[in-house]
Amino acid sequence: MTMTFIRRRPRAIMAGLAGAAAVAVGASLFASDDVIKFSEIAEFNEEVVVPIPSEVFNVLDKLEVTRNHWRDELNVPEEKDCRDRTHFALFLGRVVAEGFLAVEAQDQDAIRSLGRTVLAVAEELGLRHAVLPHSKSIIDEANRGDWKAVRAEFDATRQTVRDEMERRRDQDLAHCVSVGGWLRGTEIVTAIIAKDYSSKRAEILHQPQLIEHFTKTFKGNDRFVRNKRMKEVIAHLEKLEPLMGSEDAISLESVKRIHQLCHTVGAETIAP
Amino acid sequence: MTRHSLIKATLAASLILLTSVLSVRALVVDALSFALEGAEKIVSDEGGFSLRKDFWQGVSDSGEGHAIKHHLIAGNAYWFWVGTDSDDVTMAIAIYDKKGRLVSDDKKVKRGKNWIGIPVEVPKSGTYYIAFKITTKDQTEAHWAVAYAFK
Repeated sequence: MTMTFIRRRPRAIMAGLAGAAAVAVGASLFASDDVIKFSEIAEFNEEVVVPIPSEVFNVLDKLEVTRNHWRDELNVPEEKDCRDRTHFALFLGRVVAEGFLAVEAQDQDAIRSLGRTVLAVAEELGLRHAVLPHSKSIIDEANRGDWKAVRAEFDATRQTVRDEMERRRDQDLAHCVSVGGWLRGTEIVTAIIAKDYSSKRAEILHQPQLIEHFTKTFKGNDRFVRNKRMKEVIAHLEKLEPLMGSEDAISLESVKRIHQLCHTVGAETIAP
Repeated sequence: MTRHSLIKATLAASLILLTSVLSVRALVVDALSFALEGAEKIVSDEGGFSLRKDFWQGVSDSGEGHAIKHHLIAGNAYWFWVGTDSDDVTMAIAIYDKKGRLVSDDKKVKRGKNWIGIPVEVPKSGTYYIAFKITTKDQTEAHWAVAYAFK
């Protein structure tokens, strides 16, 4: 049996291929009943594909949250000095998540400030060169008021940071960026849901295997197990797991508890 | 072995390695290009979809089912495409929840010569399995790539 599983970003190939695909031949479309049975699956990849922030905000757009509600949650960090690379990576994820919130709030000043913070933090991680074009685009698009483009640019920034860290064989830090963003994103979303709760709105918080994936990744890495800051992150993830992993509807009380946990770890552990 | 022949052997080995690396890269690019061929068709027909700038790739034995674990969010509409560089293939695809219950509709499957695609809107946010199988006529292994879009 030979099988590999690798996540890749197509980079420049993507644009060329998309163009080529437009003139591709031989694509005769027809409905198929050729469905693979569950029992036929021989290989399951271990890693869960984590949705990008735009997928989450795409659903939130449909909930018709008002701009003022998003603005109420905005918390643009002023302090940028972190203690070590793990801390900078966690914080970078948090700043990018704040960027998505600033887009929802359509706050140009906040976006400009966050664009500069992203660049400053990226510099500390040796990623200035990779992030600079994104930072400039974020500020330019915000000045033009093209919110969709700004959101896409924050997505691209997050992806570039991850790709660059993976290229440098620094996947550990890439996981820190992801969890930093996920915790701040969850904090924001729970605040919004709690303001106008319904079990349907809270459904988006049902993410059991995602938390399990983060926890397993961090607990299986000595570097994180020994790190005081990451120990705090792991402890909070373990508290979040039962609240977000239940098969039942997530109650308003649970939404508030999730918010509180994310807020605490964000303010006391991830913020500089 | 003389120093000269050692250098020649090293160069030959490097050339073989480089050739095989480039071949694998080409196969992956082909598989991805076919997945994107499917994506291009559906995205332009249905409109409003955002294609994620990431893809997943691998190699599977002919006829062997493979599944990617994916966190899907209720409220989004998704399309998944699998492309392969192998010719003369039959492909199958389906999406299951974590308990192995089918959540995709086989009537909505679309395919081209080297790709297959399926849409899904999940009833509940959570982890799902994007399952697919590629059977080659000559029973050789198949390189594959998976892409997806959402709206």
